[in-house]
Amino acid sequence: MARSRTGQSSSVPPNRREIEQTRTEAEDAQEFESLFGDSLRAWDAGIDPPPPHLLELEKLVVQHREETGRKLWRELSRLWLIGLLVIGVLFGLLQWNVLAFAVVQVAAIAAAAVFLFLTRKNKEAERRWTN
Amino acid sequence: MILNETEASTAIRLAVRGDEKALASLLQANYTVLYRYMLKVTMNKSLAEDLVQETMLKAIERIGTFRAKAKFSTWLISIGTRLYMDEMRRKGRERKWRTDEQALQAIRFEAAMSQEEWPRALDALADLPPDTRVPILLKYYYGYSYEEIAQWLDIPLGTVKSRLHNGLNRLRKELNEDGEKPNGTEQQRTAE
Repeated sequence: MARSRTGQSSSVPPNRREIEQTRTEAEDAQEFESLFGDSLRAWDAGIDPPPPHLLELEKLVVQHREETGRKLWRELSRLWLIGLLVIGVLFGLLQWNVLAFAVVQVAAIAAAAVFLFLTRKNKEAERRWTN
Repeated sequence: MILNETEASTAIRLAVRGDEKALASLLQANYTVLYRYMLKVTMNKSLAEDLVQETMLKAIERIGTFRAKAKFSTWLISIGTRLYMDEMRRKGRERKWRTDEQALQAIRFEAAMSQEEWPRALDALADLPPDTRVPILLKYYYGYSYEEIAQWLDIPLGTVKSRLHNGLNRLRKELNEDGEKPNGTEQQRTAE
């Protein structure tokens, strides 16, 4: 189903640049329609995959939810276990040597800062498409 | 199974609350729309089928977050788009965006079974890199806004517009080189 939204505010009159931009967008849309519209619609009409049976889909929903729930509990348990382990080690360290405890804390914070910086940089690189 | 507006609205309300039957009916009702979209976007039948499956699984996981501000099919298309783009990034295919020729041949063959010929125009569309083909289809065939496309592709608005502009230029050039003529007829766009 075709959808058209211009998103233009009606309270402020459009300036010449906006009018030209809208006209160009409309021309582009018209051009695409004339070049590809019929071909795409004809192709669409020929694509008629048999949809899955309703019971199959219900089963999929139930099974996937159960699987997701199990996975979540597994990961939560792992997180708690690791957390308890880390807290236990740090507590032991604190009891043994306060200075060593402080050094470990500072090192952990520095490592976390470096990690955050590096992962943010990687995410930006992943988002950029190469042409 | 086709749901009218009232049935769809009721099904959505129930599905968000956890009703499995309602969610299953929504997925079934929108399966064809989703499949057609993924096939056009991927130009690869087996990839399209995998992504349709993944999209439905993602929808099952996230149905609780669906706010019904847009149509359910739009929500599925947004999920499918993100999954496809993630797939492209993960496999590093932005550097090798050439459509799998065998996969395209399979699509041409199937299309030929129902149409008289496979239009050259669709080959030109298949030749576009995914990061251009996707916004072009979303904007000019499905009628989504620049803002929606930018959000789904996680790119700035200006980038959406420049990709649309460059993509159209490229399509125009490719079709003109092949001597393809536009049909010149104005018709109502019916994407869903």
